Amino acid sequence: MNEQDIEIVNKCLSGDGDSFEKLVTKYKKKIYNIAYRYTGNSEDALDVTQEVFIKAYNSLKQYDPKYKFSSWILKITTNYCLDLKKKKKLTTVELNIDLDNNETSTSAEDIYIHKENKELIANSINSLPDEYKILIILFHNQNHSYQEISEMLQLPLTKVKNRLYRARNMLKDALKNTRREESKWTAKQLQY
Amino acid sequence: MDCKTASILMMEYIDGEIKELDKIELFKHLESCKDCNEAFLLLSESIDMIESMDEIEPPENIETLVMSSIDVTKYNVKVRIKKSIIISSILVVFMILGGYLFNIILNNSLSLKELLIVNIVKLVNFTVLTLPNILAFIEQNLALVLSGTFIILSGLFASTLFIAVAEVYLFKKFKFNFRRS
Repeated sequence: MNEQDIEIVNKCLSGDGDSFEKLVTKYKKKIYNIAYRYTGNSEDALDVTQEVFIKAYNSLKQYDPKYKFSSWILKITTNYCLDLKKKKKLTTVELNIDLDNNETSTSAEDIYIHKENKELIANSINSLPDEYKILIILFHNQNHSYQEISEMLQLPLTKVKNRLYRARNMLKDALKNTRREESKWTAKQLQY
Repeated sequence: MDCKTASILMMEYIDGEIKELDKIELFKHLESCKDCNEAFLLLSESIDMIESMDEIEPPENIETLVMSSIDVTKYNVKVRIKKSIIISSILVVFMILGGYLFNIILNNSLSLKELLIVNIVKLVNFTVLTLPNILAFIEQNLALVLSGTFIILSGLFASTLFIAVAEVYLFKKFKFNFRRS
């Protein structure tokens, strides 16, 4: 039977620090993925993941068992990602989208258009402010509920909902503008 | 339906929380409003894309990297007390030696190198010349020597314990740690 997170935390706190490895194994994928989506490269994602676990271990006493451990560690992750940007440690923060994904489209033209769209969407997401980008990643990519995000970011539920609505609208506007710019550019090219 | 209401309903649709009747109304609006239709398509497309992004496998050595960077004995009180006592003992010895050396340096006009040589010679002389006398003295005044030794050791032990307790307290109170925190 799988050990509950709280049991592992208690083991660590009573001196068995090696148990922490189980928590690393359990959450490494989730944290690494958020970090990767946020930082845009595997090197920074690895650094973030490592730092998050070290921070979590060193502040394990502050963990309040009335919340889920996953929410707590993801809160550390999101805070760390946001702080990282503030400290300007990251020069480029891009949402990495795998452009070479296998497609079901048949023609080369379809693949090209799809790739273009992906790039367009990736650029639009990257243009969002960090607080909004992280919400989009948590809700739409990591499938967290409003409640979980509210706990993670320590924001009221209504604020999370409103911010996510705003984030989606910003995304929509950014996409609209980029498409408009693109079509203007194509029209100009056709004139020549 | 106005575009503002449509925008709110679009969000509810994406969240999967839209009521059936509202959904019908929304789609009716989308058919008649080109802007909202375009916005809805763009939004759905981008959300679909983000949701379909594949999960990436993290490097396999994350566990090793993390476990080698943390102090696994951090929350082990027994180990911490042991460590603290060792560190404190070293500290006490250094404090006594330091105080002694400082005193010698202050009261001498010789250079450090000269002082070192002089003191080594003194120590050898003292050991060779006075050791038999000391042994004789101990033999004659065993009770006095034993009680004196006991007092000195107790003093050292008390100061070591005090520093060790202070360190464990600091660690608890301020997350003070000799390794990275």
